[in-house]
Order: sequence, then C-alpha cells, then structure tokens
Amino acid sequence: MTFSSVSVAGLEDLVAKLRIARREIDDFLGETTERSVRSDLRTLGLSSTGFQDLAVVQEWVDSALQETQRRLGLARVLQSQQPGAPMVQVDEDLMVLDPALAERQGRDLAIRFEQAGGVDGDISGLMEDFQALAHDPDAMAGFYAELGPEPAARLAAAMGMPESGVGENAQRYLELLSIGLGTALMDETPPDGLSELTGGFGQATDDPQVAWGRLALLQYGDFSGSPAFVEQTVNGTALDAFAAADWADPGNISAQSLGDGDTAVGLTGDIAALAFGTLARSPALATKVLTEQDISAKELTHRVYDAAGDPAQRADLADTFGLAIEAGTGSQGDPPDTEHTPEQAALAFEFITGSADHEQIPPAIKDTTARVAAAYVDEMLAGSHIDGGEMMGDRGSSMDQVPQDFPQGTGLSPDFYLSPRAVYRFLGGFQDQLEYSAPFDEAMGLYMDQQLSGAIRADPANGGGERYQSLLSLFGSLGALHYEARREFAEDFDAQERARKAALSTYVSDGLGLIPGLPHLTWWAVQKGVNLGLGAWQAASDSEADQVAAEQQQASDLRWYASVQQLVDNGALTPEQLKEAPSSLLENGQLRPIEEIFADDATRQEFYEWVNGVPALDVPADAGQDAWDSGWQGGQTFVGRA
Amino acid sequence: MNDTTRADLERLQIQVGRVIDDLKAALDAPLSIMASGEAWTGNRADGFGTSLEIHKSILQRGADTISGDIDAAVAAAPPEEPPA
Repeated sequence: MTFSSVSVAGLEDLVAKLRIARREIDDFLGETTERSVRSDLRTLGLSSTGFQDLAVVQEWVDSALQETQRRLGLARVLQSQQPGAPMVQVDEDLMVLDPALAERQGRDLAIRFEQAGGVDGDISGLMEDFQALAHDPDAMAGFYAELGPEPAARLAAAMGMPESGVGENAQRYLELLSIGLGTALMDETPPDGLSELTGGFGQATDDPQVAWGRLALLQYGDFSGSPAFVEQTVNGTALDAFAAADWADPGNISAQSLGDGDTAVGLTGDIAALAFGTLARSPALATKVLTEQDISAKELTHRVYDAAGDPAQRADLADTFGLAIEAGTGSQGDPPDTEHTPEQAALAFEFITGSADHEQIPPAIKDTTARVAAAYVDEMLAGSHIDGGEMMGDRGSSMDQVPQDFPQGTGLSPDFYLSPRAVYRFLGGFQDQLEYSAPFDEAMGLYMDQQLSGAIRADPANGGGERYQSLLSLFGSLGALHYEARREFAEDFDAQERARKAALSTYVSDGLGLIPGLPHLTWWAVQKGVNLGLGAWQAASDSEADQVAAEQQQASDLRWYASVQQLVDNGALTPEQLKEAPSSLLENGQLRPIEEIFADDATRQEFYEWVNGVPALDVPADAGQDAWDSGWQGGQTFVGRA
Repeated sequence: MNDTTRADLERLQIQVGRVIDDLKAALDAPLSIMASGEAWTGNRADGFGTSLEIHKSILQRGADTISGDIDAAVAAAPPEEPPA
C-alpha cells in the first residue's frame, strides 16, 4: 500500500485555488461562459493556436480537481477519526477508484438493500459490503442518495426494533449506518439525490419509525461539518412538534417512541429524548436550537418537567434534555466551566428560572441542575443578595437589572441576577442526596476561596476592606439559602448532617484552607455548626438547645479562624509584622499550620490574643464575621417568608 | 475580419493585456501550496507537483501565443485614416 500525508485545511485550500485557476482559464476558453477571450477573437475574425494549449491545461485541471476533491473527502473522514492530528495518512490505493465509480458502487449497494426488501433476511453480507465503503465519501454519498430519506430512516429503525430480527449485530450495524451517513456528508461533490435525503430528514413526519430512524442515524457518525443538517433534522423530526401547542397529545410525534419496550440498541426509544440527546453532542448547536424554538427555553423546561414528572415517567426525556442544557449553557467540563458566552448565559437564565418554578423536579435531571449551578456560581452568589426594606429579598430575576442596594465593589460580574427565591428553589432541586449536590459544593468551595483571596489581595492596604466584607455577606446569604434548601428538600436531612460532619473532621485536622480534591469541605464548614469534639466547643449539656448553640458557636469560630488564616495567606501582614507573633505560633518565620494551633488549648488562646492585638487581622476578621452573620440572617429571614 | 477596424483590434489587445498575466499565473497558487508541503506529501504528491509545473509551462506558452497572435493582427491592420 502507498500512503500520502494530507492536511484537510491544506487540501481545502488547494481545491479552492484549483477552482480559481479553472475559472481564469475558462474566461479565455468560454466552455461554461457565454463571453470569453476566444469568442471576442472570433467576433473580430481572429483565431489562435494558443487556445489548444489552454484546453489541454483545462482538461488537466478538471482531472486534478476531481482527484483532489476525492482525496479531500477521504481526508475529512480520516481526520474525524483522529481529531487534532495536523496531517492524516490516505491510502493511495483508494485513489485508484474513480469518484464516479465509487459513487456507482454505493448506489449499487443501496439497490441491493432495496431488493433485499428489509432486514428480515440475512443482511450480514450487505452490511459487510457497507462496512468496506463506510469511509469513502463518494461511495456513501451515492448509497444514501440512491436509498432516499425514508428507506434510510426505516433501515436504521429496523436496527433498533428487537422484533426486526437483526439480532446481536444491530448495534454495530446502526453505528456503521450512522458513520456512513456522516461520511456521505463529507463528500466534496455531493451527487444528485443527496440533497433530497438531507432535505427530507427535516420534513415533519408522523411515523415514529421514520422519526426515530432519522435521529438514530445522527448518533455515531461525525456530523460536525454539517450543523445545518443536524439542526433541521432535530427540529423537523421532533422539536418543532414538541414546541407545538398539541405537544402533550399522545399523537404528537414528540410524545411517541419507537416501540413499547427498550430498543435493541443502546439508544432511548423516546423520540423527543433522542432529539435532545443529539443536541448534547454539539454544544454550539444545543445553544442555538434550544433558544430558537417557537417557545422559550423556560417553557421547554416546563414541558419536559411536566412530561417527565416525579415520580419519573419519561426519565430519558429529562436525562437527555439535561445533557442538552449542560451542553447549551456551557456547563460541561470537570469542574464545569464558569466562563460563558451571552447566548449560553441567556439559556441558563431561562433554564434556572424555569426549573425554580417547580418545587419537585424530575430525578433524572438533578445532576444537571447541580452542574449548571456549579457553572453559574457567580450568578448563584449574586442572586443570594437579600434586598433591604420591608419585603426583604422580594424581587424578580432579571437578565440585566441590578438589584436595588446590590453591594458595590464586590468585583463580581454575573451574567444575570437571579432572585433569592430562584436561588433557593433551584438549589433545593438537587438536595435530596448529598451526592447530587457534589458538583455545586465543590465549585463553591473553590470559588469562595478564589473570591475571598482575590478580595484580600485587591485591597491589601485595607486588610480586606469593603470588597471582602461585601463578599462575605453574600456568601453568608448563599450559605443560608443552601442550608435551608437542604433542610427543606433533603430526603433524610439528619443523615446528610451526619455525613457532612463526619467529613468535616478531615477539614479541620488538615487545616482550614482548601484541601486538594476535597474543595466542597470548605463550603460545608462555613455553612453551619459541626460537632468536631474539640474542647472549646463542647456543648454545656446534652440538651438539644445546648448542642445547637455549641454548633453555632463552633461554626462561627471556625469561620473566624479561617478568615485569619486567609488574611495571612494573602499578604495582610508584612513579614515584619508576622515576625512579631509569639514564637509558639511561628515555624521558620511562617505561621504554623492552623490545625497545629488548634491542637493545643494554650496555643489556641495565644493565637486568639495575638490576633486581637493586630488590627490588620482582627479588624477585617471581626468585620467579616459580622458581614457573614448579617448575610446569613438575611437569608434565613427570607427563607422563613419564602 | 471584414468590418474589423484597427481600433477594434487595439481595444481587444488592451482588454487581453489586462488579464493575460493573471492567466499565466493561474497555477502559481496551487504550485505554491504543493511546494509548502502543508497540504499533501508523498510520492503521489511529488508527481502531482511535477505535473502542475509542466501544465504551468503549457499554460504560459498558450497565453504567450494568444497574446502574440493579437499583437500580430494589430500590427498587420492598416492604420486608421484620420477624420477629414
């Protein structure tokens, strides 16, 4: 075998330049244009043998273009299998095949499929032949152009139906058919009939087999170069119907499934769910499609929640809608990305406010809501601001209106401002189990550390000034909203508390800063009291009131120590000031790890007294406590009324 | 060229003169891409590049011939009589 190294971008450039060359030569020869230099010469009774040379070159350019286009199509298929590779290896033996002959082979294979009359017979031989051509754009374009939209969809649907008799190879065959369709759309010179297929996939259908088959064909191949085709297929087949007024009618195609039970392949039978699942594979497309329906993304959310319900009915619908939302709002990644485009943020606003309208949300989407909350930590924090006045925190969510009295100088730049009620209800959606909340808890731990450290460093002369206090107040509000949402919506709040407190003993023994791999502990620790069994925080008695009081005090003290540590870590003291600390608190000129200071009552007391004598630490730490408490109280007062 | 005047030929000469260099350079861009090695490399690519160069020469020869034939026709045309 002979291989060439080729680059898709390079070949695209070469094809473009050869096409330009062809036009320039044709301007002289006039083979495809009415007016040309040759015709102008003829009008004046002249001729030139030079045109014969040009005709020779034109013929060669035509042939070179054909060859390069075929090579480009093959390269695109290979590139899709090796994303990121600058060059791919093309088997030159495949280039021996004339593009027209390759297309003919594809068409002949389609005819053999049609003659086989379905998949009842043994199609293994046909599928083996299909596999041999599945990566040849000319052949696959010929195959699907010949087969047409409805037979193509029905062939795919047959793979999904257990009763169709395809057997154990159904999954592999469906994947091949999908890969083949992706290959066909990479053909640089689409043959007659292919546009009928792509257009046909965007037409409305009331046949669940056709609808499911179309969508199933989009699940495994590479369609990254054909977003318009995917968009029109998803919309025309299912989502236009889901956005229609009769969406809940059982006869609506988006309310239907391929069959009554599971499919024979690893795909949902739920047509609307499969459509949303398709979007989850293309984040940019998900943003576009979910925001450009005839109904708002908020209404889409309501419909999905109504259809999926609780207890779960169409769980696949909630699951794949959630995945599409994660893709469309830019909430993918681990941890979820917190930088978003305006379009992603607008979609997130619709989804969060729509979801927050529901007291109960479908179980299958809870992981999504936690990830979206993690991706939009700025917005969760800003939305926790409790407005003052007679109706504290009683405001609506807004994409652009900054809440009245929103603290200045926080350094926050949220994409939108949620209402405290939306934050509380949205967080409540995923509090059943501590595990559901993990993405949000981890993101908040990291985020709080970054924000507070940044605030201290931004204003070192002030030792954690207004920005630091404002942020602590907001984190206090959010902490209260989250804590109360957990208390309200957790399946077993007491069990959650036990698990949280057990984990927090690690937090204190390892220090009060961020623990690599366990950032959620930072967020848990500041929210509410924990019984860590440390002497100074033991309750005066076993009574519940004393226990609660002790835990409250303990949480408050923990936050104070954490604040001091954060101030020291972020340069609130000069090296000279630090040197003045009692020697028992220092080690190699640095503050000893906070857990060592805690370990001994006398050292802890010494630490406390030293900090009280250092205004650069004591003032902002005390003010931070007050700010946190104020925010926390505001949050609790609001929830009491919510 | 019964009704063809020298002026007609001169207009054609100017018109073609404006685009003849573009024609001669029509294969320069593809040649440059192949020479860069950033689109396609290997024995087949080398052969393709050689063929491109050969056809560029043919293209230039054809262009020169057309240009020369027009120049010759202009030279052979009788001068226009000045208006009376």
